[in-house]
Amino acid sequence: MAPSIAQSVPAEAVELDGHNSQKRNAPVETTPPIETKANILIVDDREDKRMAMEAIIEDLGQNIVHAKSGREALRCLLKQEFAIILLDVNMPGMDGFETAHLIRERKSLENIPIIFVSAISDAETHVSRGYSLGAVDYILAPIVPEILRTKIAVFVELYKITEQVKRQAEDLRLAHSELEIRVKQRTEELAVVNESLQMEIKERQRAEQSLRELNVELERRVSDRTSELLNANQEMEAFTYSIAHDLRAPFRQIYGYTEILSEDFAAALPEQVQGYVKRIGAKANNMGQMMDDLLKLFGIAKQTFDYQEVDLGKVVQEVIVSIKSGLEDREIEWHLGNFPTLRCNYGLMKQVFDNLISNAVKYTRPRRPARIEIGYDRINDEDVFYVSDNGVGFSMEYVHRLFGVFQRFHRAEDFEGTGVGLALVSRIIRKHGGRIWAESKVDQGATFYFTLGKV
Amino acid sequence: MNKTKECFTVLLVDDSEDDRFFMRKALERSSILTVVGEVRDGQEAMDYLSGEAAFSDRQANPIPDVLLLDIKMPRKNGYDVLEWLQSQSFKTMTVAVVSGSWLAEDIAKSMILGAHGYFKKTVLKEEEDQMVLGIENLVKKHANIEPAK
Repeated sequence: MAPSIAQSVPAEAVELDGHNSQKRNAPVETTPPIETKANILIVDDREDKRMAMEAIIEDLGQNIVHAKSGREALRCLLKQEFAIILLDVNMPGMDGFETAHLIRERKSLENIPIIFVSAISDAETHVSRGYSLGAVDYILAPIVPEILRTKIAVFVELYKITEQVKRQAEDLRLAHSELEIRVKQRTEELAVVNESLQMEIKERQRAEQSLRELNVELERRVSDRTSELLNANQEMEAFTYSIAHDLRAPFRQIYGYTEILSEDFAAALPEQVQGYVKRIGAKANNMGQMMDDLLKLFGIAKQTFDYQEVDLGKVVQEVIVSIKSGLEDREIEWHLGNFPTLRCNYGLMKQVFDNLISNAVKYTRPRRPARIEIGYDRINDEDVFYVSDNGVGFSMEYVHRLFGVFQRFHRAEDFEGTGVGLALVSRIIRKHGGRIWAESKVDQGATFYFTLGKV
Repeated sequence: MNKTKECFTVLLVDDSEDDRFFMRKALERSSILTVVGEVRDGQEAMDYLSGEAAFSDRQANPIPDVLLLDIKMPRKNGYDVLEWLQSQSFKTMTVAVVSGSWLAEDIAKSMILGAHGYFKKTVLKEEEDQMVLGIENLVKKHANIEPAK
């Protein structure tokens, strides 16, 4: 049976001979004295005296045991626990004192209360002999019953309380050792849990460490990759630039020779041949133009730009003036809106407008009058520039190719140009963090829109 | 070709035979410029100007009034020649770069190295005429003569 440790001890009593446990799970303080009988040993060689004494203390309700002699008393004492011994001093053979000595010799009986029963006449000598034995009392014969009863009652009470305390101590001890066992168990369990937790923590730390290392590695790789890419990019641009540059020369020279043939040897050449020569020249020139445009396109990528507050209205005006000065005999209606001052690159934005407006002028050539509108408006929550014309337009089917390099929607015979202009414009717009798009219908003009981002 | 009293001599420096040919043809249309020599790279240019070996005869190989210098050449290129010239004393010689490149950095570098002018190679008639006029004005300015408009 395990005592409950939650409250103080004892809960259950350990069984001792003749004792019953009563209250379970009750705290010590309120446990009432155990209602068990104490054992009282009456030692006297005379039966009548024994019976007389028994009669006196009978109503205390305890267990009374008789012994006829000191020897018998010792035997009884070995068999049971007694609360008190009533010991006649005057016994034949071993008298009371000798008996008491022998009793006291046993460790377990060191403190058992002994009441010597002695005749009044012997009082003096007896008393002094007895007290040295410790835990003794005297009662003088003839016995006063009240006195005897009272003394016995007291010792019985004392015994019972002592027994109870002993029991409680025992319960406490048991509970304590139970507790210790449980604590030990718990501690062991905790140690195990702790160990596994420690391992988990170590694992986690290891994982975190590897993650960190991986991260560092990753970042290093990204950084490497980025510089590789930047380098490769730069190399490619330099390479392309150099190629375009070197390729230009021969085409220029071819054109040069065709010019010489056409001019200086026109007379010697049949008309057909002159025609061919002219075509050779044109193609060579075309090639050179493409090289030039390509170079311009890459020139954009190479440069870093400085941005300033630019009055875009002024830029548009400048572009129109310069375009107009190159126009012969055209009827063009110009419609201009209001333009903001924005942070951008002056030269590049001028190129954008020059390109878009030139295109509008070019593709409205069949129109009389041509109508070109350049404006700046809020469309779908964005601030948008637009260049709109009533020219020949293009099919939206191919709009995704519009801003590609060398893309042309019209035949070279009808409209000159190498098709690099819009690629350049697109690049510039994107450099400014904006986007460009277009809408058109064949034969119903075209509108180019673009936005500028923050630079 | 009617050359006026003011006559300026030109030395062409270019590795491309074709380009030298086109330049010669263009310069024939000038009334004040005469080509007196052609060399094929920077090294030859330096040899010519220093009067080395093959060019020691100053009658046949006179020091020119104008040096028309290409950039991209084998052995020594245009920049090498410009640098070399800074250590020489051809103070009255006009040096103009004539190149296929129109890159800002090429122009800048040439001017920093002491070129007096920079022209882009061309075969278009009008552009050629413009270039020739440009060279003429450059030379006249250098010789403190009023440039033609």
